[in-house]
Amino acid sequence: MSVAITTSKLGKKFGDEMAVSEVTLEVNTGEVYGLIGPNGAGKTTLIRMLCGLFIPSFGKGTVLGFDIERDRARIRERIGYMSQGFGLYSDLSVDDNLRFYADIYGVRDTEYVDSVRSRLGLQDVSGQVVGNLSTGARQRSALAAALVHRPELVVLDEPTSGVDPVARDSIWQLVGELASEGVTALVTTHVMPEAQRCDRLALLSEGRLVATGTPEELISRSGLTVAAVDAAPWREAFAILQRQWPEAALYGTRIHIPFSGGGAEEQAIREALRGLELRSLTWQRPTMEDAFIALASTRASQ
Amino acid sequence: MSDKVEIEARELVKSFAGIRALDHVDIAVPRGELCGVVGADGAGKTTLLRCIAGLYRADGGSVLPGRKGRNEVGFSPQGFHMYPDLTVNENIEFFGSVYGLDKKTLSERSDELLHFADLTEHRNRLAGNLSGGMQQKLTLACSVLHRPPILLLDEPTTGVDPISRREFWRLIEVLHTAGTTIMLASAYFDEVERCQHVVFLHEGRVLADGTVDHLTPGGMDLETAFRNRMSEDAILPGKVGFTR
Repeated sequence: MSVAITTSKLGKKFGDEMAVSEVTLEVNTGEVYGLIGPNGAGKTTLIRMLCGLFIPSFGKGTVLGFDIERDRARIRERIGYMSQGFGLYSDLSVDDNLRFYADIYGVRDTEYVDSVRSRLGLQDVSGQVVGNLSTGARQRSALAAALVHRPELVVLDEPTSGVDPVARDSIWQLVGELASEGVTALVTTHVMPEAQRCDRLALLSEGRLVATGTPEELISRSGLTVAAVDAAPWREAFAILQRQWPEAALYGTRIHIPFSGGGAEEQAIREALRGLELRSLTWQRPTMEDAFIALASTRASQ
Repeated sequence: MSDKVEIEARELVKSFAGIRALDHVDIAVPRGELCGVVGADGAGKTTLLRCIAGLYRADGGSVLPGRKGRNEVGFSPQGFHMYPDLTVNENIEFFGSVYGLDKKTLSERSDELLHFADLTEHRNRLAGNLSGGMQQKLTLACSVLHRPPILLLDEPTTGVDPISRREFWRLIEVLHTAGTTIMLASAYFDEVERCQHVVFLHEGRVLADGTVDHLTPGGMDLETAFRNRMSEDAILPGKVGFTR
């Protein structure tokens, strides 16, 4: 399997602050690779080093076989980067923007640009000024602009932030299709059900890699199991359980409590709820968000 | 807990420039319930909340609390609407004066809410310099200054990271368990899953509403359930020609 991105002990310092430290990872060609982590974890800084926009302070890396320090121009020609800040001209139409980006990259194949546009469902709005579009249509236009030159790697920094569920799904579908055509995608997101659509994930916290693996592996690695409690009256049950386990959370009228380790607390829960009606107590796998919070905080407390 | 309906839309219709944003919407939320409204952009979520808050006048049908009950409602709009060049404290004072709180009440409420939103140590920072998650918590704190029995939240966690999002939900839980009736519009299915009552809104109409269990038969996930309802809706005979 060929490799699209490698980094070795990559780091970036701003003044005295280490924004990214000792990140070593490998992304395979055609993989959808997710970067997740709390705000300020260093995701965008890492991405910018890979795109040749920041020069690393430590370590090294390659993107599509090119050195991220020496061959920055070559890397930029071959990747599509969709930044968090909106990159299109808001007073131009979708088509004008796409034509503009195609010209910059010297793309002559207008058929390809058309196909990108229609794959993202932008035909109906292609004549509209970008500034007037909904967030979803704007993000889809920005993604189209990042794809006009057939990049081998797309780097998408929070592509679905503020985007509605239908448009979000169409963005992820396209990312999946591109991957099956051999295009590698590096994507950041704060939305955990989206992170689960990635082949593999890297979780960053405070500039460091905390965990890498498939979404399922990360969920397992969190070591959590979740008790789902259905008890009546639910308000009292929740108050009691939250006092004892502050992580308890309400889902409808059920109460979820994440525990590290096995289901040893079952007896303690039953005892805590004595006198109330316990309708059911089941154990379930944690969500990606449960795992994220557990993994990100182990790091922070170390 | 009484079953008195606190938030209600009956045959609610609202149009803008001839386009129907809400098309005969019926929803009833009993006191103390947490209701999540999920849908795409343009589904009518914001319009629905604004009609309920009495900020828009309905074209047809009725809403509760609506214009008459505006003082009972705390409304937290989408995006950040605090004054970025005022401090956290100054924003709270400003909104307190809008709600007509006297100085003593305001100072008590302010301390209480800063503690509630975990912003006490940030009280003298400019609101514009807070992180996205803190801004959302400040917005929420300001919208409940007058202790409203009803709270309307329009996509309060959009763009914040999972940790801030969970912190924000802790605050929703505090208000919810204290008995506040809450309607939350969201674009995230894993978020509305935490509500007692879920409404699927699509093109101004209610496609389905009920508990998560009711909407997801056979353990299907909520997003799949939503998509299924959407595709059923698209092939419904008689839908074409609906006045839009």
